[in-house]
Amino acid sequence: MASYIYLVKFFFILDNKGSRVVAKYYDDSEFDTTVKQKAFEKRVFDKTAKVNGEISILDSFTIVYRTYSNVTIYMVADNEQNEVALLNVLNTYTDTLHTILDSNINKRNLLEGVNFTLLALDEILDDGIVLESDSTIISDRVGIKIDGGDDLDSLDQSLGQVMASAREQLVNFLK
Amino acid sequence: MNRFEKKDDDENEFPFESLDKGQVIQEKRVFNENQINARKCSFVISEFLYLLSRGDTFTNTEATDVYFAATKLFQSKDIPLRRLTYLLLKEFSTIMSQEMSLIATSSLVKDMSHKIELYRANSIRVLCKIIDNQLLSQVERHIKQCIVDKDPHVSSAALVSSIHLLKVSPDTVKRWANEVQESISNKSNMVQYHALALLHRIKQHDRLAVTKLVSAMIRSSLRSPYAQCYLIKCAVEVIEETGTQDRAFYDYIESCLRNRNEMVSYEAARAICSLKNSSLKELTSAVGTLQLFLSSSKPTLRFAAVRTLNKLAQVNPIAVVPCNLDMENLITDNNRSIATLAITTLLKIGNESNVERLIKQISNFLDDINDEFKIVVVESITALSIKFPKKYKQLIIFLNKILRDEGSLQLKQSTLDAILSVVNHIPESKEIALNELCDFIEDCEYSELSVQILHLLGQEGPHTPSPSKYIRYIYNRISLDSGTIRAAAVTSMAKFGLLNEQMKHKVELLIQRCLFDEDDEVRDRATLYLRLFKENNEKLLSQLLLEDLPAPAINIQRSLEQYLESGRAATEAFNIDNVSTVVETSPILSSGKASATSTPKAGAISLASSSSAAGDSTPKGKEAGETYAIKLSNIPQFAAYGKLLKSSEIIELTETETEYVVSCVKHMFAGYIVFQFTVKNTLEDQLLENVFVKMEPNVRIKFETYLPIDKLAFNDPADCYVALRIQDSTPLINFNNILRFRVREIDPSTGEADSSSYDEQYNIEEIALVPRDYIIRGQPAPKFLEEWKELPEDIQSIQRFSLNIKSIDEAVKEIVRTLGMAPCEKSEVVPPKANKHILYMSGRSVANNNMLVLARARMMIDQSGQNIDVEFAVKSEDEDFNAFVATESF
Repeated sequence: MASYIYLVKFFFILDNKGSRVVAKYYDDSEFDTTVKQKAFEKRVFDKTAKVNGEISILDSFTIVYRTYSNVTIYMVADNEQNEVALLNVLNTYTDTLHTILDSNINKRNLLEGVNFTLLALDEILDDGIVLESDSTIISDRVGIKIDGGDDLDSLDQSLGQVMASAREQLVNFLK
Repeated sequence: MNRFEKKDDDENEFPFESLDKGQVIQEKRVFNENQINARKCSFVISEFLYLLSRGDTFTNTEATDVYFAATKLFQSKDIPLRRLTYLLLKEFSTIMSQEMSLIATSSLVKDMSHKIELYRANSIRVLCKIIDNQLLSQVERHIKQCIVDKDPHVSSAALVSSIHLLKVSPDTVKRWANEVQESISNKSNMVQYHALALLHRIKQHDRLAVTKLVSAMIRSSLRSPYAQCYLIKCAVEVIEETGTQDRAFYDYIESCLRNRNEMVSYEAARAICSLKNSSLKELTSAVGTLQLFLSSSKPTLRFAAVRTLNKLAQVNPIAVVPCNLDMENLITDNNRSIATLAITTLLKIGNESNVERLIKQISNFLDDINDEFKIVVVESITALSIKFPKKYKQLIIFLNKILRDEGSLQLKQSTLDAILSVVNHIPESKEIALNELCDFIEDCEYSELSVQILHLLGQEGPHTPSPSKYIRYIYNRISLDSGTIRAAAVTSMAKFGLLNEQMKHKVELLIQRCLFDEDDEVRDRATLYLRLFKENNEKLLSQLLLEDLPAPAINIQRSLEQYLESGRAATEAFNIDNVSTVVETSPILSSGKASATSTPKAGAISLASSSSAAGDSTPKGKEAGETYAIKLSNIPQFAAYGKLLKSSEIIELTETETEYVVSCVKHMFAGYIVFQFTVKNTLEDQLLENVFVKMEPNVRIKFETYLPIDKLAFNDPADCYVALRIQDSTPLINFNNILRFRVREIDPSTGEADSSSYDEQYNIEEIALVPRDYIIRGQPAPKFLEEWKELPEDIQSIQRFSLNIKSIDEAVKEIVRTLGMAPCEKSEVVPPKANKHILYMSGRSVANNNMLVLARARMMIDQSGQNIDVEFAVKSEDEDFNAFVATESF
């Protein structure tokens, strides 16, 4: 019970050969070195690669995942956690990426925008605790619109998104 | 097809893929430029973050350098750059010394009251990662300010950070309860969730306060699904810990079943399934909710539902029956985890009438699934055979089909084990199983399995109505198979000759034909058996053919290996009496090389059958390494104690997270007891010297030897010993124990030990000597009832007592565990629903030259159904020992 608030244990993105693209271990008591982590990721990949699923179990972990053209995104929790809640976190993350990467989730885009890939994660999870679950809010926080004339390669919000976030603000206001 | 697809060909390199850590560390100089270029700096930070998430490691110094350089970036007013800087500081602070990371404190505290929300929210997240107890009290008011911040981003960040801070400074965080309470009314869903969780955790040691909080929250209207899930968990906790009859908590959980959010309705359903006192109505609604999920298009919902129902089926199979049909549809689910869970659930809830249909259904898709999955099915089927003994025929045929089909050795071994277990539990199944197995060995590709089956045929075949038909199958092996199998076949035939007088002549003729076999082992066995048959030496024959080895096969193997290595072979014969009879049950810390042990041929069957019959699946620690016996015989002080007779299980004398972790094993020798204490020092800054356990007995006794640990370094466990002389007595003593040692502080920067030291002691748990310590488990007596009759009746000791246990099965386990003796005659298998039972056990005494000790426990459930009345009788040649075991054990 005490640890229930710490929902996600590990997060990683693997490419279509099972190699790590990025990873974050919120709890490294099981896998305290990169070598051990990658060995675990390999086993997870072997178990999930051929199956077009969404959820699996390995050892004492529940794993939810979603596969895109050449990458798979994984969230891992211990098997006492609410599977549906874990999937919700994955959904929040992939929805955010969809918005930021303009629906093109693939290895190249995740790496080219690695700052967004990692910031989005940081906005959703703080040491495994869900910090925010609304992908619209997170997309806004990650793709910070900046004033001033700096030439930073930041994300241009599409008109649709501006509308979406305006609507959100209006809804919040009306509450 | 998206427009990026083309670029992702394998030939093309991906961005950052060949990024080099050294190069990026060089690039950090852009942080130092007078005019900060936000774009360049953001890029370099991204590179660092990527390196970390890729798995590159930074040394303490490297991390500190990067961290220092990044603190310069607080001068920039660029918001995206600041956001990345926070993340960089947060990540790097965890791989450097905490003290150094504090240099960012003042910048972060400043940002905590900045007008931009993003600054406030993220600076507090970083600060709480680096701060220590002392500084925390200084910035406390800023954190409290952030907790009640109107902006949800800031408030959530502060609350979540406070949850982490509970680990650093629980007392400080507890002082913020009022602010947290205030933030619960924030409009944001997430803030509600975080405030609830923090409030609950602040109060978690005060049961009354938690109950009040949960009651209040139940009545409020939480909107956040995460918060609702959390509150359901809290309600379950209150119900379980207080045993409250207040239906308000149950009602709340039940109301959540109807929540539109699946995460919440699922949480409620699984809460109800896990609660012991859920009403039938609640359980029915919960199962109904899960049933809907079973046919959902979302794999996760199907998975979650079937997993929860699987768990429920273990305790309450009837409740799950309504989902039967939906579950059957899941057998062919694309997601194998779901299909596996569905099958095992179905087999758990199956009843006598639908078992057959179920097995047929599973057979139909057997060809489509892999071996790993088949093993799960085989295991569930084995469990089923115990539940529905009448269905043995279908089960055996089904298992046999798996055995015959293509498959790995592992699968076939599991299947054979399953068949053996069915044979053990259901005597009626013996004949059909033997017939099927006879057919199977005609073309079995794995000699390991053939050998085991031949062993079984020899063991069971002679007792069947028509033993001669098995001889034909066995003899076929002799003309057709390899040496190992031929040798096993000869032994198997010899058993028929021994156990069935009429067949003796025929068997002798058949064995005679093996005298000229090309394989040494086959010839030797044939010659030996034939000679013994001619001499009519039944005693030796039955010893060779029927009795188990006098010591565990693995121990004999080790002793033989040692014997050959020592070079004694030329001068003295191997003496099997010197082999330890201790069954190693726990892995031993040692650097010895791991030697994979092949399955001992003859032992395999009895091993497989006894472990499945006992019902406990604790894996025997076969991690090879030096055994206790070898380890102790290498210590000069103990070498003279002779053969190690028995070692206890490992007894933990501390919690596993304490500064010093101590465990103990009791080793019994004839006339001596050696206590082996394994001590682990978990403090990095201490070197311990002259470490020993001071044992304080509750009676006057004389200790023989203390062997301390000279030096005990951090994280490197070592053993110290205490030896006690008991001669032929069997004292029952309690010991209070104190760990004593000298401490030398270690300087963390240099790793060197301080020149001065001081004495220290540490209290650890007690140890007691109990009757079980004086009894060696050994192999079960092969003919218990005969041996029981032979031992003198007049000096047996009988005790009557009552156990506060509800089921016979549990009582059997408890008695076997308390006495540490070996159950005989398969009497540890309790027929389902039995209300009385007799358990037979055998063992040998540590004193009195390994004297045989037999025990019999007659059990009956008493009228209340709450207790079990036991009549416990012990027999051996020694009246005093009988009384000792009978009166002191329970």
